[in-house]
Amino acid sequence: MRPAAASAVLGLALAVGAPTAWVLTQPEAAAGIPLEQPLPATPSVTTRDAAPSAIPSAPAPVRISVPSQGVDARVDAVGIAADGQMELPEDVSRVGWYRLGPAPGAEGSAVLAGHVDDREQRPGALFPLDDAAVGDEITVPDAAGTATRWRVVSRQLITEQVLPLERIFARDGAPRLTVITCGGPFLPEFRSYRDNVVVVAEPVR
Amino acid sequence: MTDPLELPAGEYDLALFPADAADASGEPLLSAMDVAVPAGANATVVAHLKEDGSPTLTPFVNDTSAVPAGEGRVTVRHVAAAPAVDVRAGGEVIIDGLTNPNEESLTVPAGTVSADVVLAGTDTVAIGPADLSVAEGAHTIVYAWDSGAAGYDLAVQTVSGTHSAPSGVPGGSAGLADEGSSLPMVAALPVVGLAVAGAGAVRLARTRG
Repeated sequence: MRPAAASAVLGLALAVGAPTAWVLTQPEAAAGIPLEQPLPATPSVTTRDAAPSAIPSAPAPVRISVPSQGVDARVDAVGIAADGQMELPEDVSRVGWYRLGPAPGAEGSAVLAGHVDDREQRPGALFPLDDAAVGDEITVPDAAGTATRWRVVSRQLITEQVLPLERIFARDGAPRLTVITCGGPFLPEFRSYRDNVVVVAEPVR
Repeated sequence: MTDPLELPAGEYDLALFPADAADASGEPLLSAMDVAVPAGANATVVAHLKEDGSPTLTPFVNDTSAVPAGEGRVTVRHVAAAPAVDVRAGGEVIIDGLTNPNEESLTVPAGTVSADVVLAGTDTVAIGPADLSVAEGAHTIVYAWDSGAAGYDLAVQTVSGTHSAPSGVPGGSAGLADEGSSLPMVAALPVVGLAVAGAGAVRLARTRG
């Protein structure tokens, strides 16, 4: 064979072979099952029975005690009064738990509140609340016989008109206990106090 | 009923397949094209029978606006193969003339009500009576579904998080906790003290002089 022919064949082989070999050694564009299967576009859904059922309820708190302030009172489950405010037990020696919100220990802010005093019945169960100190322990036993324990982290006097109600009655977030009564200057013309005493406690771990 | 699914806002083609079909293959039993899912919306898609008994898919938008504290929102959706119905609670008509595939809502005090469904304008009971729990601060959605042949039934869905806080927390009425009531005493004692001290000083000066 003449060198010219040999180089022509060799050149042709190189021109065809090199790209072919390159293509053949490339990894495949896809392998295995389609991505759709291990990574579905829509997450999988769980199903449940839709038959009408009663709403399960957590055990209600039955007492509140703050030993360092001499507070120990029975707790009643309360809802909403006719005027849209939180309902409170008539008896000032009892404390109301806002049963429409979280139970103590559940997610969100569990609210316990009581009248600070009454013309006929004198001081209420939560009268000493405005002396509560950071670190004071609060115990709230429930109807099932277990108790939640809390430590006071905050006490503040807030004018009733600017009370942060949405946050006090929040149903989400970390569990906390909010205890409320009245305080600040008494306004005889309204037969009511100007402020609310708000004590917030966090769970004892 | 499935649990809720969070999806990016957009338009979706919905298709319903038999449970034994391979993924998204073959002919869907039912489909709905270009169903809009706006951002922030809460919707339920119901596979049900039309009034004439033929199957269909109907998307409903669930109201998630807040209700007053102590109350709950109830919606009744007519998705049964049946003509117009009335819904009664405690024997009284609360929704009248509801037809497939429509809905009607009302806001009521939270609690349990005994409800039944009757053919519109009659006392002929189609479903119930059943005890319905109306959750406070939530949206309770009741579906009247199925057909006369299979027996009508109720299904319940609850969308929570529509609660409101009370408007305030009342306090006491005697004024005993008013720390300010000791203020006059706090102001008076120094005056008395100064007067006594002054008198003493005067007497001291006289005895010296």
